[in-house]
Amino acid sequence: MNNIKSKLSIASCTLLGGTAQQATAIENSWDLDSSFLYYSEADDRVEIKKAMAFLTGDISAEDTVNVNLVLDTMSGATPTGAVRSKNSSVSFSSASGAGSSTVDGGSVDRVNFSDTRLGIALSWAHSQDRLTTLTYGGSLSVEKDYQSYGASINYSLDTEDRLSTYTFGFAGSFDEIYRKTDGTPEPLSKVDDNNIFSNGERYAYDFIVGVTKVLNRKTVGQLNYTLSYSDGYHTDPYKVISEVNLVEDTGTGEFAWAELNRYYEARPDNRLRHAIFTSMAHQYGESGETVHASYRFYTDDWGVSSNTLDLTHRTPLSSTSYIEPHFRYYLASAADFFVHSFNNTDVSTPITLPEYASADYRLDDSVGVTAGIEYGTKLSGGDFRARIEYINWQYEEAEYDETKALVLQFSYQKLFD
Amino acid sequence: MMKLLFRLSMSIGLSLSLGACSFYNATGEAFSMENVEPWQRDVLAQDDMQLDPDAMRTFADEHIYFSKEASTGGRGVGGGGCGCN
Repeated sequence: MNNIKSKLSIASCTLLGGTAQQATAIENSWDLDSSFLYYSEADDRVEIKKAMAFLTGDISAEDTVNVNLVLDTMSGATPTGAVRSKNSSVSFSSASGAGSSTVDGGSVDRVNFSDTRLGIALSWAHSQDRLTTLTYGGSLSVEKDYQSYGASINYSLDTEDRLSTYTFGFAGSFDEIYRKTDGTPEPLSKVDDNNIFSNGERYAYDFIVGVTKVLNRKTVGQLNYTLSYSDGYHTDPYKVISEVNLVEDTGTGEFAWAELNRYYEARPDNRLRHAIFTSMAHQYGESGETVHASYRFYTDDWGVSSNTLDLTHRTPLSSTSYIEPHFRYYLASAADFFVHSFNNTDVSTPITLPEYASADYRLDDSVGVTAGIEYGTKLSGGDFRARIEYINWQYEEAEYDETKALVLQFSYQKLFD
Repeated sequence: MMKLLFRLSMSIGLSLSLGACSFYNATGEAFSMENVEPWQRDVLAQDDMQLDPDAMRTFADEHIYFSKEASTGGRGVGGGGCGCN
């Protein structure tokens, strides 16, 4: 009976932030979900192996705890922002601690890296009474050149009929950013000058207000608004911008960028973000096919605006297995200060640098498409899921105008009474 | 080849979108409002009817897209950041 009651409670419960795992686990004393993810970009770029374990347990009738552990192993090459010039020879520090190296032209536009990240997140959900729940959270993420500490609190309130849930949340985080070999480079300084400052620090504050509502016997929907403000060091200490001049190759007759100088990028010291997120789940048909759809509108004061649509459609293959195609579409505008490079048409005159500039492809006009499929089945008393996805991002002006990635993930979840 | 895959992805997405839209139009039930008594919530209680039916997958996806895109947020607050490449 308690099991049924809990499930009914889940059906009308808001699933925000860390409460998702909590809601799943209420029906059993302990829930262990483990997963391995492989992410690989084409052209020998980024490769990530991610191991994850989520443990959720009821420690009393009113209290649920959740522990998330993540271990990432990252390697490969990442674009620096520099143009693919054949005419430069510069010194450049590799991303994530691969050390400093001198690279002769042609390969300075991407740099090899390797890193390991450990992430730990804890949450504790406490039911104040029949209708209200407070969830406290804390997180820690450590890698060779980045550390992040966070805390959050979420308050959820069910209506008397348990058909609606209102959620309010706040989170704060502190990040420390640096290069493994030193601190952070002076923004918009020449790479060759090697002017190094101390480590960067950033504080971020996130607010959320949301409502989840049961619309009918087969549909539940959600609407969230999040406001985020961050203050401090937002620059990527590894990204650079080339000062270039267009020259003609006398051999081939083709034009190419000749790199004159290279500067470290500079981003504003704060960022204000807004996101409106809506999602729904609906089941139809005699076999119980389920559609999940979500849409997010995002905008910030850097000039980035985006629309993101996500769809999945789960079809039961039997009483114990399913197949689920997934599609995601992302369309974003560029940040106001995004540049491909600094074009110097008169090499005898020094260029005037802007206040902020970045050639990071992620801040360019972009479109991303994800297509994938997941298969799930009962296995040895647990739930096994496997998925494969292909992601393609295309960018308007960036030197590397495309990223292609393959994602494989295998997960196994076991419930313990 | 990649252009072909890109177009294929778009086609799959468009098909899914159109399928979802036509489905909603055909049934007209997805957005209908009705009072749901506690004993009528059997479908809503199913795992795949949760708004986030697979927290592990969502967590992994959020990390991928946070690392590769300029936009983030919407689902919730909290969680650790990273210096992503």
